[in-house]
Amino acid sequence: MFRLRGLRRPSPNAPGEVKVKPGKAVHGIMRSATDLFEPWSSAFDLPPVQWGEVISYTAAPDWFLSSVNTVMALSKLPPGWDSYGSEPVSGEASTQALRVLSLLSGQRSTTPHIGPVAGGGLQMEWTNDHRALELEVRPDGSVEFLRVYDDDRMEEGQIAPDRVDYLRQQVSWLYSA
Amino acid sequence: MGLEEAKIAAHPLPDFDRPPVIETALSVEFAPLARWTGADFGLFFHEIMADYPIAEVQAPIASAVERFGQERWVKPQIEIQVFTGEPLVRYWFKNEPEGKLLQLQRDRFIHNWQRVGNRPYPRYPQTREMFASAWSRFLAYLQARQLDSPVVSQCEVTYVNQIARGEGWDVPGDAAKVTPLLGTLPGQFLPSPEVLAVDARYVIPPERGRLRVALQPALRTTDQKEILQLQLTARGSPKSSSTEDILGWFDLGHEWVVRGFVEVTSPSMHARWGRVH
Repeated sequence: MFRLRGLRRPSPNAPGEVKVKPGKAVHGIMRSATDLFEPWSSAFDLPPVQWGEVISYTAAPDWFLSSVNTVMALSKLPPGWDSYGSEPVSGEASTQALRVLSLLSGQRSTTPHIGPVAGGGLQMEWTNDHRALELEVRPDGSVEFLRVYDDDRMEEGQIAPDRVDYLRQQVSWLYSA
Repeated sequence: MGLEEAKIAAHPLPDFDRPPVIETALSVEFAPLARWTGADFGLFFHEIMADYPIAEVQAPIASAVERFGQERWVKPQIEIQVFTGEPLVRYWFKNEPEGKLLQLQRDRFIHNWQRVGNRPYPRYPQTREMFASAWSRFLAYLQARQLDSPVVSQCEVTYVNQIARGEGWDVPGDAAKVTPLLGTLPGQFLPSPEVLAVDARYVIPPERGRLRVALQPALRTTDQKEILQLQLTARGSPKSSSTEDILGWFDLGHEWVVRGFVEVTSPSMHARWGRVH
């Protein structure tokens, strides 16, 4: 079992600190070929003609629902929730955390451990037997990652706004060991 | 005045000041155009790019045909797509500032309207006109290229309504406050449900099509807001492939969507949306 260490915080004016842009989410239900076939037989398939993008909870994996509920609950923490006068979780952080979860909703994943970070951020941790991944959403909505390998090597960095694929790769990396 | 118009004149459609509709789509499905090629997407785009300046490739939409009686139950089929040099694609031609989208594939033509900012819903006569205008340009293009006119098998009217958390509901179990299709749960043993959804279908008599109603919780990816999405889709066969009959079916489908919407939503939500009549 890994113990994740806190991310090193960059200076407040770190260059290149950017937000993750929303990207295409994966949604929908794969229908069994042995079903009696009726077009669009589940109403819970989103209408294929729909332009606006949503992630249906009826089609979403359990880990996604559970994680969204956790983020929603943490976003209601009062000021001073840690007994040390911390700011509540910022709107930017909770929105960005939901965006990250949306981008990962079609990925193979387990439920991450999600917790608040002093100062108004959120942290999401995934672990398996060999690897661990930590994503920290800072109060301004920027995202940092920390990878921990099974030989205790670590790799950290920021996730650029145009690297949605990189975010998905992080989680894929976790389960590729 | 046609029969449908006369019926609507006698019983005006319900109306709301602030309907929760966020998107509508008017769609026709037709037999795949025989001599349509990949180049035609580009040539047609050239015709409409002043109004729809952005083109984007999407995965194609599968056929969706309302069936009745014996025809309803068909054996499982495996669809094999044989590539004959022309990829099966759908094109989006977008005008995002005006919230207009034209979707085109070899056997589908769809016109969407999507809410932009706080702009009001333009109402059905206008979205109908948007479709009619784009469809007439499409037919003119086919004629100019000496391609066959579409043989239309299905017409479809889709309305997507989104109700954000806090606007009449707070937890998934509150879906019963939005729709009378769900009863109130007793709450003696079970906790509040994590997900609660509605799937209802109604035949438009006499087998002219179906109205499908689906209510489901979702996360809207544009602003990460939790919503209840209520989608109503009316689909069926027009009498013929003429524009008049296509628009006539849309009128019928629209009436079913609007009257259906009123019956599957609660009076308290109607008050919130400013029901006029």
